[in-house]
Amino acid sequence: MSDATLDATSAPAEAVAPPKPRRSPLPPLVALALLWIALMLGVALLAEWITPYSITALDLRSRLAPPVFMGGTWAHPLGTDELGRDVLSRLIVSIRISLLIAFGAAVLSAVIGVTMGFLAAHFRGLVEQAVLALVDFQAAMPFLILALSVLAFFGNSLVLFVCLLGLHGWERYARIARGLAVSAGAQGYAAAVRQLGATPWRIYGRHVLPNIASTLIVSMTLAFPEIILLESGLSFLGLGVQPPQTSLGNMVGYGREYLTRAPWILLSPSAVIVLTTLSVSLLGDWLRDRLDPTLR
Amino acid sequence: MLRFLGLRLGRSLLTLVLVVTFAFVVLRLSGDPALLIMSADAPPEAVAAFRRAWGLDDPLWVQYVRYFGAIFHGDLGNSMRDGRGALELVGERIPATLALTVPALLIKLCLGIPAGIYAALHRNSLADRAVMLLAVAGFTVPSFVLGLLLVLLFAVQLGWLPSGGQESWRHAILPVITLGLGGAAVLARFTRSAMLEVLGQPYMRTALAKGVPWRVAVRGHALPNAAIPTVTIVGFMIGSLLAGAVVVESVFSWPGVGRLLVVAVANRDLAVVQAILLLVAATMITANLVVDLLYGVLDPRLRNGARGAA
Amino acid sequence: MSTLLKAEGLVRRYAMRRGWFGRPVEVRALDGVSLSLEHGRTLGLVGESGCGKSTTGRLVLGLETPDEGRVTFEDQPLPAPGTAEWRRLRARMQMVYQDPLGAMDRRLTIGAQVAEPWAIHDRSSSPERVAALLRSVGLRPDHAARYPHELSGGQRQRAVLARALATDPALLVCDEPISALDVSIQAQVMNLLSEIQAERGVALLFISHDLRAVRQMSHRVAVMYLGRIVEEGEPDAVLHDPAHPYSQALVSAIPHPQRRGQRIVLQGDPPSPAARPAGCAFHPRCPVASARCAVDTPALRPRADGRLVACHVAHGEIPAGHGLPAPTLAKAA
Ligand SMILES: Nc1ncnc2c1ncn2[C@@H]1O[C@H](COP(=O)(O)OP(=O)(O)OP(=O)(O)O)[C@@H](O)[C@H]1O
Ligand SMILES: [Mg+2]
Repeated sequence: MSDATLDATSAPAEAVAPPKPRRSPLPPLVALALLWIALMLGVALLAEWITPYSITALDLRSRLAPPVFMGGTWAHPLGTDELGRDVLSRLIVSIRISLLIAFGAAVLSAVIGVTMGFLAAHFRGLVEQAVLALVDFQAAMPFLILALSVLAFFGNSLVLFVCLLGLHGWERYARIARGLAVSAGAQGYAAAVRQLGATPWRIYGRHVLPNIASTLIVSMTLAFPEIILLESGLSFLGLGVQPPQTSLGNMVGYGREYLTRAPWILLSPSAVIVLTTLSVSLLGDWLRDRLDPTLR
Repeated sequence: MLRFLGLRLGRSLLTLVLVVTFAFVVLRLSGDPALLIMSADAPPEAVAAFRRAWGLDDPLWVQYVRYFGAIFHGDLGNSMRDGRGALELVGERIPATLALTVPALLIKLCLGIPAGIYAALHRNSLADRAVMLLAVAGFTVPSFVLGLLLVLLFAVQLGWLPSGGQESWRHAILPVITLGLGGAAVLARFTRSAMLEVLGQPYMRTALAKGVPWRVAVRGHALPNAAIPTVTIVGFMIGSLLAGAVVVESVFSWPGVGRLLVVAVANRDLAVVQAILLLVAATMITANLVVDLLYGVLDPRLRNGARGAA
Repeated sequence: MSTLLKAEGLVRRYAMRRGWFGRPVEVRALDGVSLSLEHGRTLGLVGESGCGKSTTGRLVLGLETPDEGRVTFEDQPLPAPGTAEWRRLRARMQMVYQDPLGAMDRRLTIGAQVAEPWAIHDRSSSPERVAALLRSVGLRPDHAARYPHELSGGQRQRAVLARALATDPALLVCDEPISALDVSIQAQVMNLLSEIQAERGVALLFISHDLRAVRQMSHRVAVMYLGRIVEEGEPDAVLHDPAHPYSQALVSAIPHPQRRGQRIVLQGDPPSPAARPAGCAFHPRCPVASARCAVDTPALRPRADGRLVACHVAHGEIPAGHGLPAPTLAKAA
């Protein structure tokens, strides 16, 4: 929760798994996490059909209406905000946007990282040194600060924002991909396939990539919550997703103004952020223990 | 050892150069600062004068070299808004930030490391599970959510503590707790896994098999070896003392470096942003360098420059 | 019989960093190795660990380029590694590994891997061809659907062999192909290699530290010591009557019922290519060395009986000495 958590710190934090992978049925906590993730995905996919109101529809007669469990009515189950906009509808759309951004960014950073890692492993020498210098640079800087500087210089747009978040954590994939590719190339199957006359495309695409895919997927799962936290943090500061678009962090930032009068505005998006990151983290930890006890 | 030192220093310098280059590239790519800062309908002569004053007419590489020169001389430019030195502006805010981050660091260390060690030594016990669940939760609750919840509880509901501002030490309590708890969770999780890995190592099993008492083995082998990876993350935390409170400062309206950064970003006050970026980079790189040197002391194997291969 | 492979004066140096503040130390893994191999013949390469056998194998396959010397294959110099021409040449020369499990992709079936050379070299492939190929190395066609970890060690080595043979290469470098296998399976794999050679006329560079295996497999044997070939000849001749003192020591180390108790135990430290002794590299451990051996490097020359040896004593140039005190210099590194 310190800002350090929002950025690149926890690369080794997820490091070590217990020495022996547990071969047990799905633990209840993980099952719950999966259920929550499925629910969020469903909400994100069906957002257009399940939002009761438009996110910009104003209902001036019921401004700051409390949610049902605080004495409100079913017209606005999660209450309304200062302008009378329905919190539930905004929450649903926010979930969709936040997940979309986080997913895009996670995929982007994996692609960038793996490419860099393979380039380093393949060419060695100067290319490798250059990649390692970039990795050092990225790992040495708190990502939040880098992201803020870029936003200051470039202003904000959704595409830029996703690309920016996509730079988060690429260095971890690069490290993993480089390490595994180098060890596979040193004496293992990659060297053998090269020796058969295969092109680098074939070696990396058909052999190395599938072999390290499980490690990469686990790392992606572990990095996903960080991206959600980063996105919501930036949006909370008003520097991420811009109105009239809405995202989870955005909602919390807006609701902060009404903390005393209408805490529900920020409570529901906060709960969604926490539950989602928690679920994905639990899932990632479990996947790592099962699939890849060696992941660092 | 000298070689090792030289290599590390070289690497740190390179990273610093990269940061400066990054700032420069981003600065130049972001469009014409003259138009950014002056209103769109400013008279062309004024824009031209502005450009001359800031040296925006020279070739790019000249600007790059001059940029390096200026930074080398500690000249990070003036705030484009109120004309004061960017460095001076940032410097004023540093004590406020440190007043939050240093106590928070103490909380992280005193809470996180013992919790992690305890959990690892009592693996799979109830305490371990509780610590781990708390740690994962601590990691997944964003600082702004935790901060706002604390405000809601202690300021709004109970009225014990102020919700924001910097008038007295009581104002610092909530932000420090917010920062400290999150970091402690990260540290506990990290320390636990480092310990677990060490405990599973053959040399630990050998030591135990040879009849070395558990306590002695833990103190003599496990703790020092687990310290090696833990030093990294602590180094990172020390490196982010300056900028580790961006969000929390905003939540609590605390006038520190982070708050300044957010405002500067919103106003696109590039000189200030850049000064903070470079200052943070310098702190971070110094901390990393110290960590690397500590690594060398703690683990002679790494002196060979093998760390890049991790 | 025409020459398939010719290597002349191969030198390979590696830069190795020693210690924490060390400058890179040059390791001379190969120090002037020449060899030639005819179509359909087998050259055995023996020597202790680290003497440069695998390095020789990699160089003659063109996986690495020599720092000095040259390799020609079918009278053509080898193209630079990684080029398209180099990749095309892979179809003609192949490698069999010591660790078959490590050399296979554990995520693909045996069938897919065995057929991969065809895909790489744009040749047609079919289940029937895969089945035929597998049968030719003594595997069953239904093994094609298995994964590497589902096979035994011997079967894996057969699968690696099948993959290597897919493009019908003219040269097969076998780097300790049997050391990782059980003794009973070693014989089977060696027999298989001999059969395949008889059928397909493939030339083998057979690398091993097992003298008996080399003798059974090879038409000629080369003994290596510290990056050089010190003796080369017919296997029976070399192994019955070794001329070089190092070969003698190697041969005497084979357990042999009739020759109990006559083992020559080598003195001194195992050699390190980073600190090559001057003169004959073997002289610090040689029981018959004398002063000249420490200064004058013997060349690999034919003796009157046709055997190639690099030793002053074996050539009768000097009488057998009594060994030299081990120099401390070898330890310095
Ligand atoms: N890539 C490399 N970098 C540095 N040194 C190397 C490299 N490859 C080989 N060497 C060194 O070259 C020497 C010869 O190695 P090589 O692998 O050819 O020996 P070998 O005869 O095959 O040994 P073994 O029987 O153990 O396989 C060794 O001293 C080794 O340390
Ligand atoms: Mg070898």
